[in-house]
Amino acid sequence: MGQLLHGVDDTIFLPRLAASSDRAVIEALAAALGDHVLPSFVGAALAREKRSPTGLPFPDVAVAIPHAEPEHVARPAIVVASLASPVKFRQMGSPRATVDAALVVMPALSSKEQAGAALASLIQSLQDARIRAALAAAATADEMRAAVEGGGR
Amino acid sequence: MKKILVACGTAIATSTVVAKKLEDMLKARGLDVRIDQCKASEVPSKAAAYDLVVSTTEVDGTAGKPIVRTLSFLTGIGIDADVEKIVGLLS
Repeated sequence: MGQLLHGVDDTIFLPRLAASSDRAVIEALAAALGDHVLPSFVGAALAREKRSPTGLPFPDVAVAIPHAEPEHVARPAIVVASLASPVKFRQMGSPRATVDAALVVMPALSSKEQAGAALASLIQSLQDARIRAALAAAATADEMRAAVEGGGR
Repeated sequence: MKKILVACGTAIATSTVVAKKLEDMLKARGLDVRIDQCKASEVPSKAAAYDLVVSTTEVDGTAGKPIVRTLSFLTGIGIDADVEKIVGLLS
């Protein structure tokens, strides 16, 4: 297990998810979290995205990180999805701008002490253009896991 | 010790990443700071007790305290320039 999983029970990889909107992406990823989250998680994540969007303008491969408050989380987990076609998310801090997200990371965090390190190391990995490209190109969950844990090499 | 308030939408995921990265980068420069996190909506009522606000999103006021609005601690793009700016604002 690599640094990605530090402090988090489960990391779920979803390759080439087909979704037509940011809403559909959030719903699919929340469903993939299964019983890691409470039924209220998806609604909270949609509301959060509307109030405070999470698109991050990484060059070449933009990433969105939709999530919800810890009270909607049962056990921490992170879903990492690549999209079959990029989906527009509004940009964090600049809600009038959009990014074409090709990767979406949905952290389900129950406490920042426990899970913050896992998300921080994942975001750090995503700052590497090679890892973003490898994740976006991966055809299977195993390839995605290898892309993150292998450091893009 | 200087105090920095880091704000994001939910005060859990994004601000945790920003706070950790900011703390690491300031420590590497020999700056010992205290960093707290809050929701963007809490900044107007909390900022007065801090020297600086760092936020990934819009806030409705900072009680006159300087603010650095940036995504660089998430994307890595422009992070060195932002750290310079923050060091300048704290000194």
